[in-house]
Amino acid sequence: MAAYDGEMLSRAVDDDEDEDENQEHFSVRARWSPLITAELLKTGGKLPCKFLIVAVGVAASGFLKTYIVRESFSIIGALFTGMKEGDISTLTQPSPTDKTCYVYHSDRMPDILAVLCNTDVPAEQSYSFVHELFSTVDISECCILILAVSMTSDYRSEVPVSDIAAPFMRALRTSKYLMTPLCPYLEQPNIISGLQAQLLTYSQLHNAKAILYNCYTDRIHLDVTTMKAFLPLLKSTPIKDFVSTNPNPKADKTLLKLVELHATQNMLYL
Amino acid sequence: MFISSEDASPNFEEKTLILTSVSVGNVGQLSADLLISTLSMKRIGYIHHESILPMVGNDPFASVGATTCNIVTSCEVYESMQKKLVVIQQRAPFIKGKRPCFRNWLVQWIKDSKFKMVVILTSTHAHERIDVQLQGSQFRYVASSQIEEQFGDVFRNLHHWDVLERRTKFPAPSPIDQPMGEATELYLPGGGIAKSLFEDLCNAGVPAAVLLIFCAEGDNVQEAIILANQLNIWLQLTDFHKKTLDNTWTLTEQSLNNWKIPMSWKLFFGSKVDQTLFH
Repeated sequence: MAAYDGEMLSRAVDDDEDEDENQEHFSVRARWSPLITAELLKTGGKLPCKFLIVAVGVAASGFLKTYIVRESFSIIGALFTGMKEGDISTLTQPSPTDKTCYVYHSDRMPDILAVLCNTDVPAEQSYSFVHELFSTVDISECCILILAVSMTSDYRSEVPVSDIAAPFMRALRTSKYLMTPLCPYLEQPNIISGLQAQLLTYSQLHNAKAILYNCYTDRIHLDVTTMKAFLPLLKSTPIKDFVSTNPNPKADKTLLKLVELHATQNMLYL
Repeated sequence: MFISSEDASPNFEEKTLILTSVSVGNVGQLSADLLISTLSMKRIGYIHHESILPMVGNDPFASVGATTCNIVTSCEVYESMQKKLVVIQQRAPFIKGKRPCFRNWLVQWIKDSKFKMVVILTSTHAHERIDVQLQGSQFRYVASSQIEEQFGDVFRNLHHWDVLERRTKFPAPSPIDQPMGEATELYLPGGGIAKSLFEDLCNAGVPAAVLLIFCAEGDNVQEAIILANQLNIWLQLTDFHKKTLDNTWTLTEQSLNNWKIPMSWKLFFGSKVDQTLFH
Protein backbone atom coordinates (compact mmCIF):
# COMPACT_ATOMS: atom_id res chain seq x y z
CA MET A 1 0.00 0.00 0.00
CA ALA A 2 1.04 3.49 -0.56
CA ALA A 3 2.17 4.96 2.71
CA TYR A 4 2.62 8.65 3.14
CA ASP A 5 4.42 8.67 -0.08
CA GLY A 6 1.85 7.39 -2.51
CA GLU A 7 2.75 5.15 -5.37
CA MET A 8 6.36 6.16 -5.40
CA LEU A 9 7.24 4.10 -2.36
CA SER A 10 5.12 1.21 -2.95
CA ARG A 11 6.97 -1.08 -5.25
CA ALA A 12 10.35 -0.20 -3.96
CA VAL A 13 11.35 -3.70 -3.13
CA ASP A 14 13.94 -5.56 -5.07
CA ASP A 15 15.95 -7.80 -2.86
CA ASP A 16 18.81 -8.82 -5.01
CA GLU A 17 19.61 -5.23 -5.51
CA ASP A 18 22.23 -5.31 -2.81
CA GLU A 19 24.37 -7.31 -5.16
CA ASP A 20 25.00 -4.53 -7.62
CA GLU A 21 26.92 -2.61 -5.02
CA ASN A 22 27.71 1.05 -5.38
CA GLN A 23 26.46 1.67 -8.85
CA GLU A 24 28.08 4.68 -10.40
CA HIS A 25 25.91 7.77 -10.47
CA PHE A 26 27.00 10.90 -12.20
CA SER A 27 27.57 13.56 -9.58
CA VAL A 28 26.77 17.15 -10.36
CA ARG A 29 29.75 19.45 -10.93
CA ALA A 30 29.75 23.18 -10.47
CA ARG A 31 31.95 25.58 -12.40
CA TRP A 32 32.26 29.23 -11.46
CA SER A 33 33.28 32.18 -13.60
CA PRO A 34 36.91 33.38 -13.18
CA LEU A 35 35.69 36.50 -11.41
CA ILE A 36 33.82 34.50 -8.78
CA THR A 37 36.64 31.98 -8.43
CA ALA A 38 39.07 34.83 -7.78
CA GLU A 39 36.73 36.39 -5.25
CA LEU A 40 36.26 33.08 -3.46
CA LEU A 41 40.01 32.59 -3.31
CA LYS A 42 40.49 36.09 -1.94
CA THR A 43 37.90 35.82 0.80
CA GLY A 44 38.58 32.13 1.37
CA GLY A 45 34.95 31.68 2.25
CA LYS A 46 31.68 31.25 0.51
CA LEU A 47 29.79 33.40 -1.89
CA PRO A 48 27.69 35.84 0.17
CA CYS A 49 24.01 35.59 -0.64
CA LYS A 50 21.01 37.46 0.70
CA PHE A 51 18.37 36.14 -1.64
CA LEU A 52 18.45 33.04 -3.79
CA ILE A 53 15.80 32.00 -6.29
CA VAL A 54 15.91 28.50 -7.71
CA ALA A 55 13.64 27.60 -10.60
CA VAL A 56 13.27 23.87 -11.19
CA GLY A 57 12.02 22.80 -14.57
CA VAL A 58 11.29 24.52 -17.85
CA ALA A 59 8.13 26.38 -16.80
CA ALA A 60 9.57 27.85 -13.61
CA SER A 61 12.80 28.92 -15.29
CA GLY A 62 10.78 30.34 -18.17
CA PHE A 63 8.95 32.57 -15.72
CA LEU A 64 12.15 33.60 -13.99
CA LYS A 65 13.94 34.32 -17.24
CA THR A 66 11.05 36.43 -18.53
CA TYR A 67 10.22 38.49 -15.49
CA ILE A 68 13.14 38.58 -13.09
CA VAL A 69 16.47 37.41 -14.50
CA ARG A 70 16.73 39.93 -17.31
CA GLU A 71 19.29 42.45 -18.56
CA SER A 72 20.75 43.31 -15.19
CA PHE A 73 21.65 39.69 -14.42
CA SER A 74 24.73 37.85 -15.62
CA ILE A 75 25.88 34.24 -15.52
CA ILE A 76 28.42 33.51 -12.79
CA GLY A 77 28.44 29.75 -12.83
CA ALA A 78 26.91 26.55 -14.02
CA LEU A 79 25.95 23.19 -12.59
CA PHE A 80 26.48 20.25 -14.89
CA THR A 81 24.20 17.25 -14.55
CA GLY A 82 25.85 15.10 -17.19
CA MET A 83 24.69 14.20 -20.66
CA LYS A 84 23.32 11.08 -22.20
CA GLU A 85 24.53 9.74 -25.52
CA GLY A 86 21.52 10.99 -27.46
CA ASP A 87 21.65 14.54 -26.14
CA ILE A 88 22.33 17.32 -28.59
CA SER A 89 25.13 19.46 -27.29
CA THR A 90 24.72 23.18 -27.64
CA LEU A 91 26.39 25.85 -25.63
CA THR A 92 23.34 28.05 -25.34
CA GLN A 93 20.57 27.38 -22.93
CA PRO A 94 17.64 27.73 -25.36
CA SER A 95 18.15 24.18 -26.51
CA PRO A 96 15.41 22.07 -24.91
CA THR A 97 17.83 19.21 -24.43
CA ASP A 98 20.45 21.21 -22.59
CA LYS A 99 21.27 19.62 -19.26
CA THR A 100 23.01 22.54 -17.69
CA CYS A 101 21.75 24.73 -14.90
CA TYR A 102 23.08 28.27 -14.85
CA VAL A 103 23.68 30.45 -11.81
CA TYR A 104 23.07 34.17 -12.27
CA HIS A 105 23.66 37.18 -10.08
CA SER A 106 22.25 40.65 -10.14
CA ASP A 107 24.79 43.16 -11.43
CA ARG A 108 23.53 45.86 -9.12
CA MET A 109 23.20 43.68 -6.04
CA PRO A 110 25.63 40.76 -6.39
CA ASP A 111 24.26 39.03 -3.30
CA ILE A 112 21.05 38.26 -5.16
CA LEU A 113 21.46 34.94 -6.95
CA ALA A 114 19.25 32.95 -9.25
CA VAL A 115 19.62 29.33 -10.39
CA LEU A 116 17.75 28.32 -13.54
CA CYS A 117 17.37 24.61 -14.12
CA ASN A 118 16.13 24.36 -17.64
CA THR A 119 16.19 20.61 -17.35
CA ASP A 120 14.66 18.24 -14.83
CA VAL A 121 17.49 17.23 -12.56
CA PRO A 122 17.03 13.51 -11.76
CA ALA A 123 16.20 12.86 -8.10
CA GLU A 124 19.33 10.68 -7.79
CA GLN A 125 21.48 13.67 -8.63
CA SER A 126 19.68 16.10 -6.37
CA TYR A 127 21.85 15.30 -3.34
CA SER A 128 25.08 16.15 -5.12
CA PHE A 129 23.42 19.12 -6.84
CA VAL A 130 22.40 20.70 -3.56
CA HIS A 131 25.69 19.95 -1.83
CA GLU A 132 27.69 21.28 -4.76
CA LEU A 133 25.66 24.50 -4.88
CA PHE A 134 25.64 25.15 -1.15
CA SER A 135 29.31 24.34 -0.72
CA THR A 136 29.95 27.63 -2.53
CA VAL A 137 26.88 29.71 -1.76
CA ASP A 138 26.54 30.89 1.83
CA ILE A 139 22.93 30.37 2.90
CA SER A 140 23.24 31.22 6.60
CA GLU A 141 21.77 34.70 6.14
CA CYS A 142 19.92 33.88 2.97
CA CYS A 143 16.25 33.72 2.04
CA ILE A 144 15.68 30.94 -0.48
CA LEU A 145 12.77 30.88 -2.89
CA ILE A 146 12.18 27.66 -4.81
CA LEU A 147 9.80 27.51 -7.77
CA ALA A 148 8.63 24.25 -9.28
CA VAL A 149 5.79 22.81 -11.30
CA SER A 150 4.00 19.46 -11.02
CA MET A 151 0.93 17.91 -12.58
CA THR A 152 -2.55 18.10 -11.05
CA SER A 153 -2.75 14.33 -11.51
CA ASP A 154 -0.21 14.13 -8.68
CA TYR A 155 -2.38 16.26 -6.44
CA ARG A 156 -4.69 14.57 -3.96
CA SER A 157 -7.70 16.28 -2.53
CA GLU A 158 -11.15 15.73 -1.10
CA VAL A 159 -12.51 17.74 -4.00
CA PRO A 160 -12.26 15.95 -7.36
CA VAL A 161 -9.23 17.36 -9.14
CA SER A 162 -11.42 17.96 -12.20
CA ASP A 163 -13.31 20.57 -10.15
CA ILE A 164 -10.22 22.58 -9.24
CA ALA A 165 -9.20 25.36 -11.60
CA ALA A 166 -5.61 24.79 -12.69
CA PRO A 167 -2.99 26.13 -12.50
CA PHE A 168 -2.89 26.73 -8.75
CA MET A 169 -0.06 27.11 -6.26
CA ARG A 170 0.74 25.47 -2.96
CA ALA A 171 3.57 26.38 -0.58
CA LEU A 172 5.85 24.60 1.87
CA ARG A 173 8.29 26.39 4.11
CA THR A 174 11.10 25.61 6.53
CA SER A 175 10.68 26.31 10.24
CA LYS A 176 12.93 29.37 9.98
CA TYR A 177 10.79 31.04 7.31
CA LEU A 178 8.27 33.09 9.24
CA MET A 179 6.52 35.18 6.60
CA THR A 180 3.05 34.30 5.37
CA PRO A 181 3.10 32.69 1.94
CA LEU A 182 1.05 33.96 -0.98
CA CYS A 183 -0.97 30.78 -1.29
CA PRO A 184 -2.27 27.98 0.98
CA TYR A 185 0.18 25.43 2.36
CA LEU A 186 0.33 22.05 0.68
CA GLU A 187 -2.26 19.83 2.31
CA GLN A 188 -1.61 16.32 3.62
CA PRO A 189 -1.21 13.71 2.19
CA ASN A 190 0.41 15.46 -0.76
CA ILE A 191 4.13 15.25 -1.13
CA ILE A 192 6.74 16.72 -3.41
CA SER A 193 9.85 14.90 -4.53
CA GLY A 194 12.83 15.64 -6.72
CA LEU A 195 15.33 18.47 -6.66
CA GLN A 196 12.89 20.95 -5.11
CA ALA A 197 12.36 18.56 -2.18
CA GLN A 198 16.11 18.15 -1.71
CA LEU A 199 16.64 21.92 -1.70
CA LEU A 200 13.94 22.42 0.92
CA THR A 201 15.21 19.50 3.00
CA TYR A 202 18.75 20.89 3.00
CA SER A 203 17.45 24.32 4.01
CA GLN A 204 15.40 22.87 6.86
CA LEU A 205 18.31 20.78 8.11
CA HIS A 206 20.69 23.73 8.03
CA ASN A 207 18.27 26.20 9.60
CA ALA A 208 17.91 28.35 6.53
CA LYS A 209 14.89 30.43 5.58
CA ALA A 210 13.31 28.80 2.55
CA ILE A 211 9.96 28.60 0.85
CA LEU A 212 8.84 26.38 -1.99
CA TYR A 213 6.07 27.47 -4.31
CA ASN A 214 4.79 24.52 -6.27
CA CYS A 215 2.49 25.20 -9.18
CA TYR A 216 0.09 22.43 -10.16
CA THR A 217 -0.79 22.47 -13.84
CA ASP A 218 -3.02 20.30 -16.00
CA ARG A 219 -1.00 20.83 -19.19
CA ILE A 220 1.51 18.24 -20.30
CA HIS A 221 3.32 20.70 -22.54
CA LEU A 222 4.71 24.05 -21.57
CA ASP A 223 2.15 26.83 -21.81
CA VAL A 224 1.89 30.53 -21.04
CA THR A 225 -0.79 30.18 -18.35
CA THR A 226 1.39 27.88 -16.26
CA MET A 227 4.36 30.24 -16.41
CA LYS A 228 2.12 33.19 -15.57
CA ALA A 229 0.83 31.37 -12.48
CA PHE A 230 3.92 32.61 -10.66
CA LEU A 231 3.13 36.27 -11.41
CA PRO A 232 1.79 37.13 -7.91
CA LEU A 233 5.34 36.52 -6.66
CA LEU A 234 6.54 39.71 -8.33
CA LYS A 235 4.60 41.74 -5.79
CA SER A 236 5.99 39.87 -2.78
CA THR A 237 8.92 40.82 -0.58
CA PRO A 238 11.79 40.76 -1.27
CA ILE A 239 11.28 40.34 -5.02
CA LYS A 240 9.43 43.63 -5.44
CA ASP A 241 12.44 45.46 -4.03
CA PHE A 242 14.81 44.52 -6.79
CA VAL A 243 12.69 43.78 -9.83
CA SER A 244 12.46 46.87 -11.97
CA THR A 245 9.16 48.65 -11.60
CA ASN A 246 8.41 48.69 -15.30
CA PRO A 247 7.44 45.16 -16.27
CA ASN A 248 9.09 43.48 -19.20
CA PRO A 249 7.26 44.91 -22.23
CA LYS A 250 8.20 41.88 -24.30
CA ALA A 251 7.10 39.38 -21.65
CA ASP A 252 4.24 37.88 -23.61
CA LYS A 253 6.39 37.52 -26.69
CA THR A 254 9.19 35.86 -24.76
CA LEU A 255 6.79 33.42 -23.15
CA LEU A 256 5.26 32.49 -26.51
CA LYS A 257 8.72 31.97 -27.94
CA LEU A 258 9.55 29.59 -25.11
CA VAL A 259 6.35 27.65 -25.71
CA GLU A 260 7.21 27.39 -29.39
CA LEU A 261 10.71 26.21 -28.65
CA HIS A 262 9.43 23.37 -26.52
CA ALA A 263 6.46 22.64 -28.76
CA THR A 264 8.79 21.21 -31.40
CA GLN A 265 9.08 18.25 -29.08
CA ASN A 266 5.36 17.67 -29.36
CA MET A 267 4.75 15.52 -32.44
CA LEU A 268 1.08 14.82 -31.78
CA TYR A 269 -0.35 17.10 -34.48
CA LEU A 270 2.44 17.06 -37.03
CA MET B 1 24.29 11.71 8.48
CA PHE B 2 22.15 12.29 11.58
CA ILE B 3 21.25 15.93 12.10
CA SER B 4 19.69 16.82 15.41
CA SER B 5 16.83 19.29 15.37
CA GLU B 6 17.47 20.15 19.00
CA ASP B 7 20.26 22.31 20.36
CA ALA B 8 21.82 19.53 22.40
CA SER B 9 22.68 16.26 20.72
CA PRO B 10 20.38 13.51 22.02
CA ASN B 11 21.48 10.64 24.20
CA PHE B 12 20.37 7.25 22.87
CA GLU B 13 22.06 5.08 25.47
CA GLU B 14 19.89 2.22 26.75
CA LYS B 15 17.06 3.10 24.39
CA THR B 16 15.22 0.78 22.02
CA LEU B 17 15.41 1.66 18.35
CA ILE B 18 12.52 0.82 16.04
CA LEU B 19 13.57 0.83 12.39
CA THR B 20 11.21 0.75 9.47
CA SER B 21 12.18 -1.01 6.31
CA VAL B 22 10.62 0.11 3.03
CA SER B 23 8.98 -3.20 2.17
CA VAL B 24 6.02 -4.74 0.38
CA GLY B 25 2.83 -2.86 1.26
CA ASN B 26 4.84 -0.42 3.38
CA VAL B 27 3.62 -2.23 6.48
CA GLY B 28 6.63 -1.32 8.63
CA GLN B 29 6.25 2.36 7.85
CA LEU B 30 2.53 2.33 8.52
CA SER B 31 3.10 0.64 11.90
CA ALA B 32 5.72 3.23 12.77
CA ASP B 33 3.24 5.96 11.84
CA LEU B 34 0.79 4.45 14.33
CA LEU B 35 3.42 4.36 17.06
CA ILE B 36 4.55 7.94 16.45
CA SER B 37 1.05 9.38 16.39
CA THR B 38 -0.35 7.32 19.27
CA LEU B 39 2.61 7.90 21.60
CA SER B 40 2.84 11.54 20.44
CA MET B 41 6.54 11.04 19.80
CA LYS B 42 8.70 14.07 19.21
CA ARG B 43 10.81 14.60 16.12
CA ILE B 44 14.35 14.98 17.40
CA GLY B 45 16.31 14.87 14.19
CA TYR B 46 16.71 13.96 10.57
CA ILE B 47 18.72 11.45 8.62
CA HIS B 48 20.20 13.07 5.56
CA HIS B 49 21.87 10.54 3.33
CA GLU B 50 22.67 10.45 -0.35
CA SER B 51 21.11 7.01 -0.69
CA ILE B 52 17.54 8.10 0.11
CA LEU B 53 15.42 9.91 -2.46
CA PRO B 54 14.28 13.37 -1.39
CA MET B 55 10.69 14.11 -0.44
CA VAL B 56 8.90 16.88 1.44
CA GLY B 57 5.35 17.33 2.62
CA ASN B 58 3.33 18.96 5.32
CA ASP B 59 3.22 17.60 8.89
CA PRO B 60 1.83 14.02 8.66
CA PHE B 61 0.78 14.08 12.33
CA ALA B 62 -0.97 17.44 12.28
CA SER B 63 -4.32 17.72 13.98
CA VAL B 64 -7.43 17.98 11.84
CA GLY B 65 -7.99 21.45 10.50
CA ALA B 66 -4.46 22.65 11.13
CA THR B 67 -3.45 25.35 8.67
CA THR B 68 0.21 25.75 9.58
CA CYS B 69 3.22 24.26 7.89
CA ASN B 70 5.73 21.98 9.54
CA ILE B 71 7.65 20.19 6.86
CA VAL B 72 8.42 16.51 6.90
CA THR B 73 11.45 15.03 5.12
CA SER B 74 12.34 11.64 3.70
CA CYS B 75 13.89 10.10 6.82
CA GLU B 76 13.32 11.31 10.35
CA VAL B 77 14.07 10.26 13.93
CA TYR B 78 11.36 10.39 16.60
CA GLU B 79 11.72 9.84 20.33
CA SER B 80 9.57 9.11 23.35
CA MET B 81 11.57 9.95 26.48
CA GLN B 82 9.06 8.27 28.74
CA LYS B 83 9.05 4.97 26.89
CA LYS B 84 12.80 5.09 26.12
CA LEU B 85 11.89 4.54 22.51
CA VAL B 86 13.39 5.90 19.31
CA VAL B 87 11.77 5.39 15.90
CA ILE B 88 13.42 5.96 12.53
CA GLN B 89 10.72 6.59 9.95
CA GLN B 90 11.85 6.36 6.36
CA ARG B 91 9.38 7.79 3.87
CA ALA B 92 11.13 7.44 0.52
CA PRO B 93 12.85 4.55 -1.21
CA PHE B 94 16.56 4.08 -1.77
CA ILE B 95 18.40 5.08 -4.89
CA LYS B 96 19.32 1.97 -6.84
CA GLY B 97 22.65 0.55 -5.80
CA LYS B 98 23.15 2.80 -2.77
CA ARG B 99 21.65 0.57 -0.09
CA PRO B 100 24.97 -0.92 1.07
CA CYS B 101 26.45 2.49 1.75
CA PHE B 102 23.41 3.47 3.82
CA ARG B 103 23.57 0.21 5.78
CA ASN B 104 27.22 0.64 6.57
CA TRP B 105 26.58 4.13 7.86
CA LEU B 106 23.49 3.09 9.84
CA VAL B 107 25.16 0.14 11.57
CA GLN B 108 28.06 2.35 12.63
CA TRP B 109 25.66 5.04 13.89
CA ILE B 110 23.66 2.48 15.86
CA LYS B 111 26.87 1.17 17.45
CA ASP B 112 28.10 4.66 18.29
CA SER B 113 24.72 5.67 19.74
CA LYS B 114 24.79 2.62 22.09
CA PHE B 115 21.16 1.59 21.62
CA LYS B 116 19.96 -1.19 23.91
CA MET B 117 18.45 -3.10 21.01
CA VAL B 118 17.13 -2.66 17.49
CA VAL B 119 13.72 -3.84 16.28
CA ILE B 120 13.19 -3.85 12.51
CA LEU B 121 9.59 -3.71 11.28
CA THR B 122 9.07 -5.17 7.84
CA SER B 123 6.84 -7.32 5.65
CA THR B 124 7.46 -10.04 3.11
CA HIS B 125 5.67 -11.27 -0.01
CA ALA B 126 2.68 -13.46 0.83
CA HIS B 127 3.05 -15.28 -2.50
CA GLU B 128 6.45 -16.62 -1.45
CA ARG B 129 5.05 -18.53 1.54
CA ILE B 130 5.70 -22.24 1.97
CA ASP B 131 2.92 -24.69 2.92
CA VAL B 132 3.38 -24.41 6.67
CA GLN B 133 3.03 -20.64 6.48
CA LEU B 134 -0.27 -20.58 4.62
CA GLN B 135 -2.51 -21.04 7.64
CA GLY B 136 -2.49 -19.57 11.10
CA SER B 137 -0.81 -16.41 12.25
CA GLN B 138 0.85 -14.46 9.46
CA PHE B 139 3.17 -12.80 11.93
CA ARG B 140 6.78 -13.99 12.33
CA TYR B 141 9.89 -12.90 14.16
CA VAL B 142 13.63 -13.34 13.78
CA ALA B 143 15.94 -12.64 16.70
CA SER B 144 19.67 -12.31 17.16
CA SER B 145 21.35 -14.59 19.69
CA GLN B 146 21.24 -11.98 22.47
CA ILE B 147 17.52 -11.29 22.01
CA GLU B 148 16.80 -15.02 21.67
CA GLU B 149 18.53 -15.65 24.98
CA GLN B 150 16.71 -12.86 26.74
CA PHE B 151 13.22 -13.08 25.23
CA GLY B 152 13.08 -16.36 23.25
CA ASP B 153 10.97 -18.22 25.80
CA VAL B 154 8.68 -15.25 26.30
CA PHE B 155 8.13 -14.95 22.57
CA ARG B 156 7.28 -18.59 22.05
CA ASN B 157 5.45 -19.52 25.24
CA LEU B 158 3.84 -16.32 26.41
CA HIS B 159 3.14 -14.42 23.21
CA HIS B 160 2.82 -17.57 21.06
CA TRP B 161 4.97 -16.09 18.32
CA ASP B 162 6.39 -18.21 15.52
CA VAL B 163 9.96 -17.78 14.40
CA LEU B 164 10.36 -17.26 10.66
CA GLU B 165 11.02 -20.57 8.94
CA ARG B 166 14.52 -20.68 7.50
CA ARG B 167 15.14 -21.90 3.95
CA THR B 168 17.94 -23.96 2.56
CA LYS B 169 19.06 -21.59 -0.11
CA PHE B 170 17.81 -19.27 -2.75
CA PRO B 171 16.23 -20.09 -5.13
CA ALA B 172 14.55 -22.81 -3.11
CA PRO B 173 15.13 -26.27 -4.60
CA SER B 174 12.16 -28.53 -5.25
CA PRO B 175 11.25 -30.83 -2.32
CA ILE B 176 12.84 -33.81 -4.13
CA ASP B 177 16.16 -32.07 -4.58
CA GLN B 178 16.08 -30.72 -1.04
CA PRO B 179 19.30 -31.69 0.67
CA MET B 180 19.02 -33.15 4.14
CA GLY B 181 21.13 -30.43 5.66
CA GLU B 182 19.76 -27.85 8.01
CA ALA B 183 17.96 -24.82 6.59
CA THR B 184 19.86 -21.77 7.64
CA GLU B 185 19.10 -19.11 5.10
CA LEU B 186 17.01 -16.14 6.15
CA TYR B 187 14.51 -15.60 3.35
CA LEU B 188 12.71 -12.26 3.29
CA PRO B 189 11.68 -11.40 -0.27
CA GLY B 190 10.19 -7.94 -0.52
CA GLY B 191 11.51 -7.02 2.90
CA GLY B 192 13.75 -4.20 1.78
CA ILE B 193 16.97 -3.78 3.72
CA ALA B 194 15.60 -5.76 6.71
CA LYS B 195 17.51 -8.98 5.96
CA SER B 196 20.88 -7.50 5.14
CA LEU B 197 20.62 -4.96 7.94
CA PHE B 198 19.71 -7.66 10.46
CA GLU B 199 22.71 -9.73 9.39
CA ASP B 200 25.00 -6.70 9.59
CA LEU B 201 23.72 -5.89 13.08
CA CYS B 202 24.25 -9.49 14.22
CA ASN B 203 27.80 -9.38 12.89
CA ALA B 204 28.35 -6.12 14.73
CA GLY B 205 27.12 -7.68 17.97
CA VAL B 206 24.08 -5.41 18.32
CA PRO B 207 20.98 -7.11 19.80
CA ALA B 208 18.45 -7.05 16.98
CA ALA B 209 15.07 -8.52 16.08
CA VAL B 210 12.95 -8.44 12.96
CA LEU B 211 9.15 -8.44 13.33
CA LEU B 212 7.39 -9.16 10.08
CA ILE B 213 4.13 -10.11 8.50
CA PHE B 214 3.29 -11.84 5.22
CA CYS B 215 1.28 -9.57 3.00
CA ALA B 216 0.49 -8.48 -0.53
CA GLU B 217 0.19 -4.98 -1.92
CA GLY B 218 -3.22 -3.48 -1.34
CA ASP B 219 -4.95 -1.98 1.65
CA ASN B 220 -2.40 -2.89 4.31
CA VAL B 221 -3.84 -1.02 7.27
CA GLN B 222 -4.89 -4.30 8.92
CA GLU B 223 -1.38 -5.74 8.66
CA ALA B 224 0.08 -2.53 10.06
CA ILE B 225 -2.23 -2.74 13.06
CA ILE B 226 -1.39 -6.40 13.64
CA LEU B 227 2.33 -5.63 13.52
CA ALA B 228 1.94 -2.64 15.86
CA ASN B 229 -0.16 -4.76 18.23
CA GLN B 230 2.50 -7.49 18.39
CA LEU B 231 5.22 -4.94 19.06
CA ASN B 232 3.06 -3.46 21.78
CA ILE B 233 2.46 -6.86 23.38
CA TRP B 234 6.22 -7.30 23.64
CA LEU B 235 7.38 -3.83 24.62
CA GLN B 236 4.21 -2.68 26.46
CA LEU B 237 4.29 0.77 24.93
CA THR B 238 0.62 1.51 25.53
CA ASP B 239 -1.80 -0.28 27.79
CA PHE B 240 -4.01 -1.61 25.01
CA HIS B 241 -2.97 -5.16 25.80
CA LYS B 242 -3.45 -6.80 29.18
CA LYS B 243 -2.59 -10.33 30.19
CA THR B 244 -5.59 -12.33 31.35
CA LEU B 245 -5.59 -15.06 33.98
CA ASP B 246 -5.19 -17.88 31.49
CA ASN B 247 -1.97 -16.27 30.25
CA THR B 248 -3.28 -14.97 26.94
CA TRP B 249 -3.05 -11.42 25.80
CA THR B 250 -6.23 -9.64 25.08
CA LEU B 251 -7.02 -6.18 24.00
CA THR B 252 -8.27 -3.97 26.76
CA GLU B 253 -10.47 -2.21 24.25
CA GLN B 254 -10.89 -2.43 20.53
CA SER B 255 -7.42 -2.00 19.18
CA LEU B 256 -8.58 -0.46 15.92
CA ASN B 257 -9.92 2.52 17.75
CA ASN B 258 -6.98 2.75 20.07
CA TRP B 259 -4.25 3.46 17.59
CA LYS B 260 -4.42 7.05 16.50
CA ILE B 261 -4.55 7.16 12.69
CA PRO B 262 -2.37 10.01 11.43
CA MET B 263 -3.56 12.76 9.15
CA SER B 264 -1.34 11.53 6.32
CA TRP B 265 -3.40 8.36 5.93
CA LYS B 266 -6.12 10.34 4.20
CA LEU B 267 -6.87 9.62 0.54
CA PHE B 268 -4.78 6.46 0.41
CA PHE B 269 -6.19 5.60 -2.97
CA GLY B 270 -6.06 9.02 -4.60
CA SER B 271 -8.40 11.95 -4.86
CA LYS B 272 -12.13 11.72 -4.64
CA VAL B 273 -13.66 11.43 -8.10
CA ASP B 274 -16.63 13.22 -9.54
CA GLN B 275 -19.59 11.12 -8.36
CA THR B 276 -21.73 12.04 -11.36
CA LEU B 277 -19.50 9.67 -13.31
CA PHE B 278 -21.41 6.78 -11.77
CA HIS B 279 -24.94 8.09 -12.34
